[in-house]
Amino acid sequence: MLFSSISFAYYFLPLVFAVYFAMPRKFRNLVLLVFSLFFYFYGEPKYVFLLLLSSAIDFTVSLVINKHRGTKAAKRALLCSVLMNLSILIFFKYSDFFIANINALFGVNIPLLHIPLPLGVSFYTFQTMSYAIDVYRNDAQVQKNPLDFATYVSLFPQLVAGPIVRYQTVADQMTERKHSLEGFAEGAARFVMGLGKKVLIANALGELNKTALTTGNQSVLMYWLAITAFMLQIYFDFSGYSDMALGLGKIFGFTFLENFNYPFIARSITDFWRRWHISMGTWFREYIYIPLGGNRVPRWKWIRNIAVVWFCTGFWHGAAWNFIVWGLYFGVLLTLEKLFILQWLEKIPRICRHIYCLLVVTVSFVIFHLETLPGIWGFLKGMFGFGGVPLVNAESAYYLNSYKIILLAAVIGATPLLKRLVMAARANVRLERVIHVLNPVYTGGLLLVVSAYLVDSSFNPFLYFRF
Amino acid sequence: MKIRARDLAVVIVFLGILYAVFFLNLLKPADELSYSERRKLAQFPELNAETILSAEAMEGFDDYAVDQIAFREQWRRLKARFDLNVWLKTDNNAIFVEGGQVFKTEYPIRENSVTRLCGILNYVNRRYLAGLNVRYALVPDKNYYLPDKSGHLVLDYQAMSGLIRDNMDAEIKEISLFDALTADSYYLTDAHWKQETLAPVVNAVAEGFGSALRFDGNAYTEKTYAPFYGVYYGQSALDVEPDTLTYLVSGTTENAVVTSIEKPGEVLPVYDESQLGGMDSYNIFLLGPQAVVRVENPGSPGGKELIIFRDSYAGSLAPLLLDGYAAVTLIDLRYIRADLVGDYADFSGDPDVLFLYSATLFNTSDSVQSPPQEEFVSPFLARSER
Repeated sequence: MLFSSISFAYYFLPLVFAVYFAMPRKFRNLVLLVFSLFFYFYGEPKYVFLLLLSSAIDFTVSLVINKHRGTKAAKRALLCSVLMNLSILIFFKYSDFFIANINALFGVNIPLLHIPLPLGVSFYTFQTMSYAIDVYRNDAQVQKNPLDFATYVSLFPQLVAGPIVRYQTVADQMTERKHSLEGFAEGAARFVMGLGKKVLIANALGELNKTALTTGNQSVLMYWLAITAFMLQIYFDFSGYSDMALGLGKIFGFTFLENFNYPFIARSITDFWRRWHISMGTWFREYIYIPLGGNRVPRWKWIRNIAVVWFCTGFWHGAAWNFIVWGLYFGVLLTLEKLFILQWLEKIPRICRHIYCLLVVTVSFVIFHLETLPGIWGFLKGMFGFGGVPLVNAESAYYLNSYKIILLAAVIGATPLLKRLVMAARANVRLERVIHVLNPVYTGGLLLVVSAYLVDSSFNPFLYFRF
Repeated sequence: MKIRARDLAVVIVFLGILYAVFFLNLLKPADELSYSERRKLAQFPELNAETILSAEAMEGFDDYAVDQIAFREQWRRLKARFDLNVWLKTDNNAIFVEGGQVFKTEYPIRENSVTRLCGILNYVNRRYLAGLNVRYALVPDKNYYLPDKSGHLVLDYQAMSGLIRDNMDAEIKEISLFDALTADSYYLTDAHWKQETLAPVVNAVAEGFGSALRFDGNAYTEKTYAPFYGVYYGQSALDVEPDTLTYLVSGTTENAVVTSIEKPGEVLPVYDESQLGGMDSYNIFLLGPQAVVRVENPGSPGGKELIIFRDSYAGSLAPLLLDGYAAVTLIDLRYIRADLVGDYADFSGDPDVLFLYSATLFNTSDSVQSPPQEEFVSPFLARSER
């Protein structure tokens, strides 16, 4: 089930709210578990067992680790958890990638498995694995209640697209969390805001990107429209989803960590990755980079550690070479920044740092978006005027005109400008009152408009039809 | 407003909307059709182990939830207004309004689609039409007549005409309709041309075949139906003025004998007035979409016949061509495969043959059925053969 669907907003949510808040506190985790499993089952009926299997493995393993703490048995149990989770991930996500590459490399013809990717598998395997590791490292208390643990793993607000919630973040909230009017209101407003980012901006920019990529009449402007739309689409889609997750979590009394912090205002790639998909970056840092020694090792090992982390980061995003190249591209840039570029960046004007970062990130999105190396190269040439296409043509001018306000809204929305304006306005008592009044109006209005877009997404007219 | 009051207001508004729509959806009976989109609406899915485990039931419910939501048209209106008035987009779902007329962007040229239709028409020509007087005519979409300054994307008609010319068998000559039409030839809210404006088209077609037929307005009486909500009216989801549908009645059209292979044994009218006010009032013209329709003119002094391979535009044109022919047969290859046409249409007796297709159909020819592969001459092969 998608958050951005009528089924979710106008059937699932009213039911889950009604049942959850009608139940005594001690049954609320059970309610969340049942609804979360239904939420997952609704989208992936056959793979719900995999979610339960992953939960069961890590619940059991962590009990063993806790019982045999400090012994080889604990280490073996941890190894079992890591291997099982990685096996699930590799089998379901990467089988065909490996088979295709073996076929290409050795000239054999092993048939592809064509296994559908289970929803959210990259997120929940990382969550359950991190739980077992945290218990092993004594960073988290073991959870002895299987229902509470299953609720943590399957919690529908963050189940299929993150953020990756580490157990220690919500451990206390699993048993004791506060439900309040303030939390509900904040969560509802955040959820609607996320829905708006996804439906009103990301989806529209997705259309623009698709149109710009598939047109037969390319121009330099069209290349830039395509990639700008794609960058902003991914940002508003993903950060919108995170907003929805955080908002829903808040309604149910959970506080998840922020996942995005205006990444496009970063002044270096190091800064960018502190702001983009923070929960994933944290996961790789905590469970791969630091265990490998981080930066407290000889330089060659440090560079190796960066390479390993960014290879994994790229590969985590998708089973294709362009994702690996994308990850390594950032690995190389981050290494160069730490060795040379950051010192130089500090000496140049701030605007130049922003331009540097945006250009590098833009190129990274070309690699992320286009699947083949010739495709990436051709696109980059087109963007920078070496593609033998005009600077502007009627088509690109038309689409720029048609999407100008959405693009402008997206660019402004990707910066903290509005947030700062609201903060500044709150310093004034009168303006703060106006903001208070506007808050419910804005939330309700946005929900209505978003719903209108969701309804219209089924717009599928037939000019000529017969019954 | 204090913080607590603000929070309470947010929660009331949020839950109020969710539960209002939830209960309205539960109470509202399911509709079968969407008249504005001219399609069947999704119904509650069948629930059994197979549909649930395959997720078919859930996908069906998602479709049902969207299609059957209470006040569906109002939601679509809100979306259209937001797109055009807040986002200032130049179109909403490719539909835009210019000078009170509703247009749909048809862009860019899909060469494969154009050449595919040419290939099918060449197949028809080679299989049935050897030695006959065969012509083709392209009906431009109304966007062609938009002023240049409108800024909207319009098909490159020079390129499309060239593409068609290059891919049609050389003996099939073109009848150009570009100068026979203007922006006013089309309905405000529909894609089609207006029958009462087709005099220049009738004359162009007659000239193309060397026929003496010329449109005589005095021979016809205008009958009207209003309001006519064209296909774009519902799709636009905007407040635009509906049209008046005018149809031209004469002694010839009154006395004509219409038959359709889909309604065997029935004698049908040229103008089926029972269609007015239905799903598509434009179906008044020769029964709308039909595989093969034959219109006989008992008063014709000669025996010459006309066969039109066509899309929906020919429905309103054919009655005006009746005075020049003993019979007009309309064949729609979207509803009958080209290799079966010979079973239902008679090509003996030296009929004139017209391929009359709109630019929209050339550009989206998927709906036209291909003949069997072994018999189908690919347009690319056809080109190399010439």
